Amino acid sequence: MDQASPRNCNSCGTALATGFLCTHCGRLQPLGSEENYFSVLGFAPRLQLDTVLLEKRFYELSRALHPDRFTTSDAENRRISTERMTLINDAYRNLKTSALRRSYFLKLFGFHSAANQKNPRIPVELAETWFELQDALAESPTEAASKLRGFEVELGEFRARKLQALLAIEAEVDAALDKLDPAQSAGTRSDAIAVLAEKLLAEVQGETYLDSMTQNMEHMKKLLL
Amino acid sequence: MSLPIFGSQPTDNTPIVGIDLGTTNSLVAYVPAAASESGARNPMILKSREGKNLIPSVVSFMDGKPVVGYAAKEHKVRDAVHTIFSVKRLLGRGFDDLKGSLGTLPYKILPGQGIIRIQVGDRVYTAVEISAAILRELKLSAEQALGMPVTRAVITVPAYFNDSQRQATRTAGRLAGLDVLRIINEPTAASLAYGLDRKRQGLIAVYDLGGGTFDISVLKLNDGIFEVLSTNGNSLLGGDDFDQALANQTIHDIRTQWGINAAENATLHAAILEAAENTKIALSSQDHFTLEVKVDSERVFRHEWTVEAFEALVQPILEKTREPCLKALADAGLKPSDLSDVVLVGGPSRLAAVQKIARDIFGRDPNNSVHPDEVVAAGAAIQADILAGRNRDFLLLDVVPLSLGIETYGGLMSTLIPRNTRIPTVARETFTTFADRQTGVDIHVLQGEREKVADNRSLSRFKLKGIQPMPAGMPRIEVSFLIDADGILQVAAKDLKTGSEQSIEVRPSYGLTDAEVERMLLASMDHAEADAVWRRLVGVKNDAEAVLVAAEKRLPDAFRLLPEPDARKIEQHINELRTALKTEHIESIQRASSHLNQASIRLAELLFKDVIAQSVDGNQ
Repeated sequence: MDQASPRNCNSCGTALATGFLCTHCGRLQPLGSEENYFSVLGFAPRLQLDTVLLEKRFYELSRALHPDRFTTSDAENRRISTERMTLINDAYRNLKTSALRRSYFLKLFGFHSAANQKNPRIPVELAETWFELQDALAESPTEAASKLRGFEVELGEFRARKLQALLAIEAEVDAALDKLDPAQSAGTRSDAIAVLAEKLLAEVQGETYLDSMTQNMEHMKKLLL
Repeated sequence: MSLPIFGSQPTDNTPIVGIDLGTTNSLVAYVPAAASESGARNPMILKSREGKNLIPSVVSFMDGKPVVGYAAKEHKVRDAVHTIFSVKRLLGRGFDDLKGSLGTLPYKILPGQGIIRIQVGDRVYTAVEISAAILRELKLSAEQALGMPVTRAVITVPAYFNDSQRQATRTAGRLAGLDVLRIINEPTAASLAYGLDRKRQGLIAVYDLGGGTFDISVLKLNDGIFEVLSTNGNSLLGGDDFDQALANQTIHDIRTQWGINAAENATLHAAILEAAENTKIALSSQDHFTLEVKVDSERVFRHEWTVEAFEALVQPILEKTREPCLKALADAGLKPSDLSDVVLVGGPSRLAAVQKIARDIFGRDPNNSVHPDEVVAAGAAIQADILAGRNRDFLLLDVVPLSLGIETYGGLMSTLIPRNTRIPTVARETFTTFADRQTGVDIHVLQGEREKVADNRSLSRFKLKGIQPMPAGMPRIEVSFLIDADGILQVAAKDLKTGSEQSIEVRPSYGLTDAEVERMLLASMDHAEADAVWRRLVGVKNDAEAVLVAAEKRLPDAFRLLPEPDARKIEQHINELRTALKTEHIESIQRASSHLNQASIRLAELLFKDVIAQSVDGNQ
């Protein structure tokens, strides 16, 4: 675990074996402000996660912390259980798919400024075919259908290349973080990956644009083919 | 010095029972504290006071006193106007919801606003009270079977029951003297009983066709964890519809044969419905059956039904289960072949026609090994056992059935919690104002799957006041949605600048009517395409407008900095975009916007240099 710093029970002061429950007095531990989606599921913040392990951790924690386990407990334990389970549900949903995980990761390290920005420019590599397709759409539906098929192939190949690039950068970022001492401050870690993260951000923005392009294309396919 | 309080403290040792409050039959079950000889703690169905497993959900009033169960069912025909059945179809609904969704009933429903009222003799009851009478009978039966007081229960409802129906069920429990610890969904309950055998793991679909509702749930079973992946349904569909179809055919035939309108005669109508139900049940085990109704003292109507003719009659009804199944699979991101089992639940699943359609939808033989009538109550008992803290091996992870969000500018619903999100959950989103110096915002809470506000269900409205007056788009208002493990929604709005805050527990008004859920679901399937196009158009227009406004603002600079033909070109593209924006043609708006953008690139560069130059000058 990333934040494995030893802590004591919030209620009875006994040293804690797990981060959330005191085995001595049975009190659930309130959420600390340092908890994030990764830490709450017992992971260090990385872009690439073992999703099988992720699911296993999610089940283990649900089993221990779900409010249904605390229906006969007191109000404070019930409140903390709901609070923790809410975070765990949220964390699991956001870490399960790579796209959501990526955007959360960037936000966590403070690189979120550009993630919401729209980038209305068509990638240069695709622009020509795209505009040809637009012209065909206006003029001849039969030609448009064949252009659309061509564009689909081109877009598919382009996206596959982009995905490879994205995964490579992700691996680089993770490797850079692996090399750092986990005790280092978030700011230091953020600085260490700043250059890579910018590259990643650019790719993510591109992905978002390509997603909407794919959507447009699927829509046209429905109308044309 | 404080005493150690380890783990759960069972403050109450009275049993928690599981109740299946069905449209046609109800059951109560319990997981005994002590293990049986085999070492397993299996749920058992508690016998009714009539000595049966099932208690027909029928209430008959004799001399003003309610009688429940088989005794009441006997009165269905003899004393039709004093005998209430299928009351679950009326629970949590208004008179207006009934139009078209319900066949004519022999008992009398009073027209009027708000909650449905049923007239029995000179007394008027609500569906909640009738349901309470059934629950009271279940409570008494459980107490007799267990030999101790029963005050706590888990009650099941169809997955597609909306909140007003869930609240009505809770209220009925309270009226019957039961503390309702949890309302759980019927297909989910069924999965708990199915998964009691721990060897049953993997992805399953529960196809639950009940008396009055159809639910489909997709779950992942993993070592005692029951994770609901998706849920869908059709809340206006059930075995009752088969009876209605047979009855309508019979009424039609009687009219043709003798010119008698059977629907106007309460006793005859009830007799036809009963004959129809008996015919349906008979056809689940034999290949033909003669429907027989005594029309009057000298005439008896007879019609021989074959299984084939019956199946042809109900096929259009069964076909309506297909779409929800496909939708649930898609929401779970699965193909039929990913499933390891398809479990059939509900009385009608005994019919070959139901098994056939399930096989057709999922491309595999469905599993009909679970007891179709008892499995839901058994599952409710297991959840009761979990909540009592006596079953630490099992855990149910549930989801919200319909998306929740708020109204945003342009009549759009902005979803904060999408359907099938695991609960408990929280969602926060920041919104802003549309007008300059706006000091208040209207928070309009919505439920549904459509893009436009008007197509969804309004749950609640409240105002956030005291926003600091600022230009439009400057204030930041955080809206948060919280849903706890019981499915209760709480909405709050907060001005992040001033800290001004308003919150509301969206509880009693959380009421989609059955018909509305249904209409919305069907509509969302039909209109998903149109909605997507419309949303895209709104997005494209907004982007293009931003481009247009920026370019218009810079036009004087263009004439100052660029050669005249280039500036004229920008002007021309501005006009083109303005014209395009008057249409709804996405492609031409995008194209005009892109042209304007390209034409303006040189200007943007020049302006940028200009700014740099000025700031450098200013620094010197």
